[in-house]
Amino acid sequence: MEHDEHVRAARRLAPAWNELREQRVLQRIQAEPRIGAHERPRGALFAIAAAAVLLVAFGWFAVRGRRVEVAANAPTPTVAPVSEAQVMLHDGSLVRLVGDARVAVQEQSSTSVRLTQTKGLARYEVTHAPARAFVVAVADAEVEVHGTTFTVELTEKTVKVKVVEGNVLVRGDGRAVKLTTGEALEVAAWRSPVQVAPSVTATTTATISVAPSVKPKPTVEALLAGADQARAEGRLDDAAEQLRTLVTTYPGDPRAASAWFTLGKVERGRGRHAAAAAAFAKVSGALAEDALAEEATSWKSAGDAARARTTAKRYLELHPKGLHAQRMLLLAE
Amino acid sequence: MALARPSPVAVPVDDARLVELVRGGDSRAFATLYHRHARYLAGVVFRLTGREPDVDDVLQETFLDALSAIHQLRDPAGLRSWLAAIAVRRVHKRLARRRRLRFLERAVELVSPKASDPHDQRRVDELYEVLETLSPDTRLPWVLHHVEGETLPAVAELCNVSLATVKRRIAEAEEKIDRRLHGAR
Repeated sequence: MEHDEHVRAARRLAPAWNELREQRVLQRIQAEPRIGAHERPRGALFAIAAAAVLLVAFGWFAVRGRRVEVAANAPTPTVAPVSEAQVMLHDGSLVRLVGDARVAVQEQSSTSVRLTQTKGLARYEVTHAPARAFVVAVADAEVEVHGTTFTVELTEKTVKVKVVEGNVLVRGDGRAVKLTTGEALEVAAWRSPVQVAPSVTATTTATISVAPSVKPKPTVEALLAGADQARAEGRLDDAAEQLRTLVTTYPGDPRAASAWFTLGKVERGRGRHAAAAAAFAKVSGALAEDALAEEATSWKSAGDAARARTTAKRYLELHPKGLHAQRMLLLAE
Repeated sequence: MALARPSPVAVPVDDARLVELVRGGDSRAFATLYHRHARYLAGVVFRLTGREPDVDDVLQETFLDALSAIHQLRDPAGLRSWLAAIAVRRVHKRLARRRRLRFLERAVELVSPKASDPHDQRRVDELYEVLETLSPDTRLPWVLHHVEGETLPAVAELCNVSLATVKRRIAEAEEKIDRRLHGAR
């Protein structure tokens, strides 16, 4: 062929692809407007994936401008653009997230819905279902309802609960306060001083005490979800912290291996190539082959050619016909 | 289709299993599939279109198309090829639209991807200038075969045309590219 050189040059072309860009495209897929309109059956599958990624892969849904629904028995969660973040739960309850509010779904079943609010202001429009407990855990308090509309705002020092309609029960420090339409309650978050107002009216704000308590250890699921969310938002420092917490807190968990792998990718994204290599070195199991190749590459990026070479050779010994063998051959030279 | 909660083990197995999980509504499996194939597809799309901005759009469209048709995938183990075929279709549409717009505007936009190696840039510029003059029907098979290194049957599969058609189109592209590049020297 006369144009071999041109072809070879074209073969070497590669887009400026990196993890953040990859994540941005994934977010675009999630935010795709055509996803999820109920009147468009074809959207169901789109919806499943997009909402799934939002609600489950990431777990958290501090996502602006999207609406997420999860249907009950044959869930066809949907995502459609709206002006503010909304989360529709499988029982039809709606959570509206204001600003940078964050809420995580801990449990959804016919008898119990449990959410954790970790930041900001959210409005809950809970469908009436006497047989189902609907609980929002916020700081050290819990808000339990069966069918109502209320808002919860978590600031650095306080949790504010305001009932728009219906009744809610706010629990904290072994006590409970019932609020009805128009009433509001301010609860000290975490370790603040305590005082219970003599009465709670529609126009006043009461304060009850919440005793200091030991914060529960975050679950593996919560850490993974938090890390995914942080990565999705480009907060790589946060993602790294969550993943490190996971692998140090739950070293024996089967998900620790993938967490190490992800941590390696996150560290690489942060430009910390030696840390990335160290993380990849911890990976075992199904991802071990990929991780070994990534480790070699990371050592190379870190400027440690000797370790890159050694690692690449180890890869070739273990996986002479592996997926990354060609790349490792170059590093091993 | 039910949306399952994320599978507790985030370490996927093979594509076939992941496809099965995605069909069952497992979102983590979808995310894993995406991350597994996105980079590869990005590379292919970039070399096919020659334009960075197209990569994100085509990938987005590709995965959305894939999700809508995941139940029609007959060979889940062949997911990557299937995704690539979808991407090729999307690129075809995009290139065709680009050509139509260019004709309407009576303007030729020089589209040339940025080479990683500066030494390659001149040849890349020359090649993609020629590729821009080709129809998508001839351009895509040629790039897939010569640049991506796909076999002729694979190109036929990716372009959804017969082997004979692929050969003819590649030959046609080959002739034009040769003529243009030689003329440029």
